[in-house]
Parts: sequence; C-alpha cells; structure tokens
Amino acid sequence: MKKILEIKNLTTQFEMEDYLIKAVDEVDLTLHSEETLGIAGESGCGKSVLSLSIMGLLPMPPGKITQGEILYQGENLLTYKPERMRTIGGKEIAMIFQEPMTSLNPLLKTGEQIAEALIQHKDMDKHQAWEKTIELLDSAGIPGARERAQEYPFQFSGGMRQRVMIAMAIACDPRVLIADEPTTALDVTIQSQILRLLDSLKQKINSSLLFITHDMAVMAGFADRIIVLYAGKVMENASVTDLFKNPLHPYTQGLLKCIPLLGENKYNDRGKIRYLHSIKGNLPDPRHFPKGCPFEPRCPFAMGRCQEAVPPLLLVEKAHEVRCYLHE
Amino acid sequence: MKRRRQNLIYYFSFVLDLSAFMCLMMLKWSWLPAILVVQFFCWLIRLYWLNKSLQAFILVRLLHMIPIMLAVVAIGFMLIQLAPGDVLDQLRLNPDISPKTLKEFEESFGLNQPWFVQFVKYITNAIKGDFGYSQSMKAPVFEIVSQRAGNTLLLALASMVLAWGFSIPAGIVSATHQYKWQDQVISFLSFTGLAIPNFFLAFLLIYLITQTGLWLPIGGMQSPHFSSMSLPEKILDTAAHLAVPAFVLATASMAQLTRLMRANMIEIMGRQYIITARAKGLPNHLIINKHALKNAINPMITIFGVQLGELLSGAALTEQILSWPGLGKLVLSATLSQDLYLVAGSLVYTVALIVMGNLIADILLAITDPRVRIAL
Repeated sequence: MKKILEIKNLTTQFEMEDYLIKAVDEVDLTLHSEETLGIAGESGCGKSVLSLSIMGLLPMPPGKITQGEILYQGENLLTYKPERMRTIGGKEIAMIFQEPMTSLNPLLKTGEQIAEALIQHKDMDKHQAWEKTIELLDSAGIPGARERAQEYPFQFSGGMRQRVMIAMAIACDPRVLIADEPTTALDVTIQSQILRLLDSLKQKINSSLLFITHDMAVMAGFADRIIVLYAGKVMENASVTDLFKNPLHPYTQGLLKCIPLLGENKYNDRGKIRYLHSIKGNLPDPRHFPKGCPFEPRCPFAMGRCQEAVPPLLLVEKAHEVRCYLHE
Repeated sequence: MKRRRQNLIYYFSFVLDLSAFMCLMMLKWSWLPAILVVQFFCWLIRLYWLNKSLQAFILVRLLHMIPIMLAVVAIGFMLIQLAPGDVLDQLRLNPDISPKTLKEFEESFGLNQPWFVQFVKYITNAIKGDFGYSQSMKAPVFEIVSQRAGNTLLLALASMVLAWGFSIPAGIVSATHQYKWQDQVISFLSFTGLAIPNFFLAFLLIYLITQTGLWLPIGGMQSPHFSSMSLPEKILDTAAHLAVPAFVLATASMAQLTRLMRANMIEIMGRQYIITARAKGLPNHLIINKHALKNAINPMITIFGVQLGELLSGAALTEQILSWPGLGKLVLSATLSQDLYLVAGSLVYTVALIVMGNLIADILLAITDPRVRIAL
C-alpha cells in the first residue's frame, strides 16, 4: 500500500506565559491510501490538536510546532507557506469537525458554503459549482437537495448539518479526510447513519480517512488500524483486530473495558451490581508533567521504573507497537 | 411566471416612489432631501418587496409610530406647561401692552385652557396638517421645522456616513492585526476620540483652522454668494461647510463604533465556522470579508437605530457652536422662549426620525440575517 500521509516525530506545544503544554508529543503515524486510521483517546489527550496541526489551522501563537515533519505524498507540509497550504486544505486534505451546530456560517446558504470550496479549488464557475453542490448534497443523503441548498444552516437539524459538513469535505475529492469526532454531538441512531455515510463516501472517492474518536465501540466497526493516544503520546499502535483481541497497554485495556455490552449480566460473580468500568483518575496536569510514563499515576500495573523514564515504543508483534515496560 | 410577477411589481415600485416624491414636494420639502428619503425607503422595500411578511412588519411598525409620537408630544406639552411662564411673558414685561390685550392674546392662543385641552386641539390640527404658529419666529411651525430639519438631517447623515465609513474598516483592520501597530494606532485614535468632548473638539478645530489659514468655513451652512452659484458649486460649497460640523459630530460615534466593530470581529474570528472556512482553504480576504464581516456587522446594525437619536441630540450642541442652522439650535431657542408649538413640532419631527431610524435598522437586519428574515 502507498503511504499517503506520514507524520514523523511531531511535537506541538502551547506556550503560555509561565508554562508550556506539550499537546502532541513526538507522534509518529502513517496513513496508507484508502485506509481508515483511527486515533483513540480520552478528552484532552491531543487528538484534535494533532488534526489541526496537519491542517495548518493551529492558532499560532500560542500554538507552535517545535519539531517533526508532516509528509503529504512525500512533501513536508510544515515548510509550506500559508498561500501554498491553502491549495492543500480543502482540496487534498479535508476536515469534518466535531460540532455541526457551530461549524457552518449561520448567514450563508448551505449550498453556497459548499460551492465556494469548489470555486476556489476546482476552477468552476458559479453555475457549475452550484450543480455539483446539489449533487454532493444528494449523495450525502439530504432529501430535496436542490431546495435545501438554498436554505440556511439554522433550518437544518444536527444530523443534517453534519451531512452538509461531510458533503463539504468530500467536495473536491480529497485524498485524505480527517474526521474529528464527527458523531460526538449527535444522538446514537443518527451516529450510525452518519458513520455509514462517511464510510461509503470515503470508498466512493477512494480517499483515506483519519478518524478521531474517544468511542472505542465506534472504532471497532470502522477503522483498519488504531493508534491510542494518551497525553499527546502514542501508547499503542495496532490493527483493529489485534487491538481488540489482544490489547497490550493497560490504558487500552481500560478503554476497552469502558464499552458497555448489551445483555451483560447486571450482577457480577459475587452477586453485587456491576457498574460500568471507568479508568480512575484524570489526565496528568499538563503543567506538571510526570517525568516517567504519563499513565503511571493511573496504571494498575505501575512499577518503580515507570516513574523514572518514559518507556520507548516497542514493536511487540508484527505491526503492533506498545509503549509499556510490561512488554519488554 | 414568478419572474414576470417580480418585474411587474418592480415597475410598480418606481411609480410608487415617483408619487411619494411628488407628495413630499407638495408638502414643501426641498427636492434634495425628498429624493434621498424616498429613494432610500423605496430601495429598501424594492430589495425585499417579495417578502410579504416583511411588508406587513414595516406596516405594523409604521402604525406603532402613531401612539409613540402622540405620547412624546403629550409629554413634551406637559413638561413645557409645568415650567412657569408661557410664550407671552416677554409681552407681559412690556409696559406698553395693556393687560386687556394680553388677555385677548391668551384667549386667542388658548393659553388659559388646561394642557390636555390644548393638546387635543393641537393633535386634531396636526392631523389636518396644521402644526401651529410660532409666536417667537412669527411663522408657521411646519415651515420653520421643515426648513431646519433638512439641515440637521444632512448633518446627521453626513456624520453617520463618516462615522460608519471609517469605523467599519478601522475595526476590521484593528481586529485582524490585533496588538500589532495598526491596532495600536487605531485604538489610540479611538480612545482619543472618545475622550474629547464634542464642543471642545469644535473649538479646537475652529482655532486650528483659523490659525493655519486652512481654507475651510467654520460656521454657517452657505457662503454669502450661495444663490449666485451653479449647482456643482453649490454642492461643493455645502460640502465644505459641512466638513467641520460633520467631523465634530462623527468623532465620538466613530470611536465607539470602531471599538465595537473590533470587539465583534475578534469574537467572530474565533468561531468554529471561521475555522471551517480556513479548513476549506479559502483565501484570507474571503474569510474576513465574506464569512466574518457579515456576522460581525449584525450587532452594529442594531446600534444604527439608536445612533440616529444620539446624533440628533448631539447635533444640538455642535449646531450651536458652529452656527449650523439646524433643528437643535431651533429647539434650544424655542424652549428658552417657551414657544410651545415650535417645541412640539420639532419633537414630532425628531421622534419620527428616531422611530424611522429604528425601523430602518430592523429592515436592514432582516436583509442581512436570514434568521430574522425567515422568522418574521
């Protein structure tokens, strides 16, 4: 498979007045063509910052990419000037955001917001762009697309707005789609519709998908490979089957235990009510980062050496990496 | 089919605005303000005449004007009656006029009746188009007010154009270059504008212009030989006379609006849909002028209506100092001489302007914001 997007050793920091936050810390990842790569992790672990770094949308300052490379088809996007980056964003790499309610401009017709991307990147005139927009809205499953294109975002429901966002993202047939928690703000029945739509459209335009979510259940049915992020670091990197069958990192194990199972016994072996599992504690305070493994304070298997240094990313099996001393 | 109906109504609207213009001319408006006012309203309606609900909305708002104006005139009447004395006081001080004549005057003006009787009489006459006779100016109120009001309106509109024309771009530059030198310069200027009182700025400008010998008139509205000028010369002459008072009047609101626009713009630039627009790979000028500007200008439009009132009251002071023959100056002298009908007439005019200003702001808001337009 061809590598389409490769991130090497990327570190993104936020430089505040009296402290420094490493939101993304030496992350490596590779996205092959037509692959779906999932990025999992809880809130605040750097998933969104990673995606904004790729798109070049990081607010700078305070954000700053201090090291690493983002290679899109072999070219380092970090060396691009903003003008050149604009020929990538929306055209080659497109993004779907978490909040469909606020991601569309309330004063512009939905159709216009899609058409302007086409006019910008595809050299279409207004009429062509409008026709293509209606086609796109139709393929995104919006009934009555011709009329709906004339309407404003506030006339759309949340799910419909996310369909508009998806239509907008696929408008210029991008090679890479980044979906940053695209279903988090939607209710569960709409979630599965949107995910199915995203998957089918992705296959239709033969693009790769970087799928960011904290929901492991969603991930299971969707991703080819999964990278688990914790406190800006890659904790585990494995194919979806390996990860679910054989999670190696304690954090991944914890995340998987958090998935509620339908039909699970209400009581545990000792006859007590079984509560949904949760990982105790919180992410470490980014201002006082532990010197060792960031997961050590919450880890049930923590050892003495975990406090001393961050474990390296170990290749355990074929294409299964984990950052934990347990698997040395 | 729909297209043809559109065209029909479009042509009809031209007939409408021509006839409205004729009406105003017959009401002794001078042609320039008549054209301006009629065209402004007709274009607003023409832009959105299709939207039936908007028309109904405008109609309802115009009907609302009636009770508002009645209430304001009633309050104005009451306040003037509360103040001791009346328009005849100056005559009373004159020993040559006998008390009997004064009594006759009182009866003929209806001054011996309670204020509400006077009020009702005034209203019934006003509906017939008779706004009373000014005792101090010795002329019908309507004539005086319509003459002066055009001048004040010209001044207010000029300073509004100046204020908005400067503050919107300045606010955008300030917001998009936050904390850079452009922002610092604009912020410094707008704080200075906020800090200097209008009348002081007027004196300052008078001093500067007279000292530097800069050719700009600093008082009045027309040069002495105005009547012998050709039309373009007349326009130039009026513009030159307008420059100082309009600038003085505009500074405060200019400064205020710039700060507001800056704050709006900064807030909007942080919104999620701006990030979406950036992710689309749109160039900066489109993001600012298309995506952000429309959203940032919305709250400003609401201010537009209030601002007209502010400008009109601010104009009184400026007019007094720079001897601009406007309404503010008139109201001041009318109040001092207790000229009841003149005050009431000016009040009616001012209130009508303010209510109109708010209506215009609402219509503009409906035009720019689909959420308002469709919810109407």
